[in-house]
Amino acid sequence: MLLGIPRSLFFFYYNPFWTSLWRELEVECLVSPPTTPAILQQGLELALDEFCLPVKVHYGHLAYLENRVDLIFSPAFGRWGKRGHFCPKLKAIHDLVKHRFPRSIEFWHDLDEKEILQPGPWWKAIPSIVPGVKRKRFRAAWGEACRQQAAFQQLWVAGYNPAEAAARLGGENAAEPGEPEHPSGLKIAVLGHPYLVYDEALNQQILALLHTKNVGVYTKETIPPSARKKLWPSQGKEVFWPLGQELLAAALHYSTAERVDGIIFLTACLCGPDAITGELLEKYMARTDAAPALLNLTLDEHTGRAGLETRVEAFIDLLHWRKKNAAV
Amino acid sequence: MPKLFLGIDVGSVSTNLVLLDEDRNVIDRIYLRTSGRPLQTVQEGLVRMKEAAGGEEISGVATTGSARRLAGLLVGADLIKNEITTHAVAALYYRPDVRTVIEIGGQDSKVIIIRDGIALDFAMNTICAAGTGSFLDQQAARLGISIEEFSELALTADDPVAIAGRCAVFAESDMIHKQQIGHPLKNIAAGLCEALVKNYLNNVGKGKEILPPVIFQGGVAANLGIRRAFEKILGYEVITPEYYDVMGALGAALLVREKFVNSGSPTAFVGWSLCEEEISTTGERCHDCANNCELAVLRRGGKIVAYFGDRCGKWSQRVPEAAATQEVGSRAPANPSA
Repeated sequence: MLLGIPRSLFFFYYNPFWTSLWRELEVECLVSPPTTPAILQQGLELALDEFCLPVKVHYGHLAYLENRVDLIFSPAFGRWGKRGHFCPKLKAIHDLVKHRFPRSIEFWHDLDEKEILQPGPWWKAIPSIVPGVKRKRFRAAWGEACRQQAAFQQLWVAGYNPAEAAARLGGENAAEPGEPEHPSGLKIAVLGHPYLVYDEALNQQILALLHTKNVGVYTKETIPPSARKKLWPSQGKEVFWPLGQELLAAALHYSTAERVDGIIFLTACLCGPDAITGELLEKYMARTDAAPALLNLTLDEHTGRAGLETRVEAFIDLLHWRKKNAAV
Repeated sequence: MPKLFLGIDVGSVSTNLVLLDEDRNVIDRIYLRTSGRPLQTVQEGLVRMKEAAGGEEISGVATTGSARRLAGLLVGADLIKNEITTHAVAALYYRPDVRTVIEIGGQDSKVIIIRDGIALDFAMNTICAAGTGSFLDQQAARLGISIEEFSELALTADDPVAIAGRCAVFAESDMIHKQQIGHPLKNIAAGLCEALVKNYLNNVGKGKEILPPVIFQGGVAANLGIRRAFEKILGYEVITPEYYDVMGALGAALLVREKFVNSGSPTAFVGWSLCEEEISTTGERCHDCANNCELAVLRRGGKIVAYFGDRCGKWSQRVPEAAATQEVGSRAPANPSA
């Protein structure tokens, strides 16, 4: 039995959990490769036109796995915390894909008020992959997967972003985090959903591009956990989507506590929640004195590297320009 | 003998060159249609610049525009700079007190917000080409008039009609509709200009504080109808500089002058001999991994000068020149008015 795991959506957050759970249950896994142009193309052909880009890419990954594995692990995302929810497309994602990929099995992600993943729905789904599994064995595997996930997230707290943390857990020598001396002296926070920030094919390797420009790069995941829940100022109420709320909290953190020179806000074409998040962010930045500069980048399947590079380079020039002026 | 500096802007629609002396005087400039052949167009421009320079050697050369890397590798650029920065630099050269730069080119449009001689913010249009030069060209062609005639015609309008400017496709069907119900061409042309200006202000200029002095540059700044529509909607004068159509190249020349005017370091310019050399690019595909990158191979005089288009960098890094010029391009901008 070979189980396929798509390297899309929240894979970038849950990859140690997903892979170690199946390893513990002795299920052989195949993870789809990082998004390639062919995967993207297939996703575009299979998914409805009005879906957001990351969901289209998810289709592409499932299509890659389809003829290579026996069953497909199909994650879906429901509640997040006390009152929060993942976006409707991520809730319904399995219902969307199951007709095209009948050998996919739904695994429902519900996070309780402490944001801990609930095992209940998984216990119900697991017999379709491991027939006759005993509850004790499942519990032990679940516990080990949770430990792996905790170790992964511990690295975020230590300053490794999810991509660097995954590389480190995988035995690669990722650079030490912290406060390295960046020759340019610039710090830029790249904020966006994990499936945009860590999927290099979608974001045209923006993190690597910034590194080649000798810029210090920061992301949402590496801020202290206490800062992740900060409420958006003068909002009056919480932003409905927890992921959007986290993005805004991160922007706030990088505007004040750990001030950066610029914030790049990555959104995907046709992402509904981000349309509001981006607007709130822009308004806040406009009315706040000495706020970091903001660059909104919308990613879609046409995103050529040239256009992205031009914007990023000009943004870096602008930050240098501002900095030089402030120093005078 | 005064030092000479060359700025080259290779955009999707036009290729522009500016020759500058060390006192920042424009010796010569040229505006050429790229016509899908960027390298040959650069060569054509170089022939003219060689003449203007009287065959004298160049002390520094910079490239900008969407094909800036390709052009930079071809000519041996000392500086490769994005077009947003070069446009801001050129606008500041023309009007040190400029506060807003509106730039509308063939395929893209941008706004740059400047305060106290410092670029503070910018925005560029997204993939939608509504409100750019290509769309205007196309609509003028559909009306059966040249773009110059279109520009004049819009000025004669007495009552511009309302046209949906949200999207190029809607604008076009709206225009056809207005034509069919008998509105005169001049009012449709002026209506289109206003629709495009509103579209620009709502999309590119969204949330930006557009304050005078406003400089309007890029190829579309030649269009009197658009210029008037901007003035009508913004409510103040819109300045079009003398070199409005070559501002990117001018900015590039200013930046490389800044860098080299007081230094003795030699330029990387390959020399005027480039005018006669055989230049070509070919497309190849790398099959070493699943990405199957499309590679462009640049040859000068039969020899491979550079590779482009690989994601991993194993081809583009193979040519030492490529790495050297890329580093130069990441420098901070200099402010010529400071």
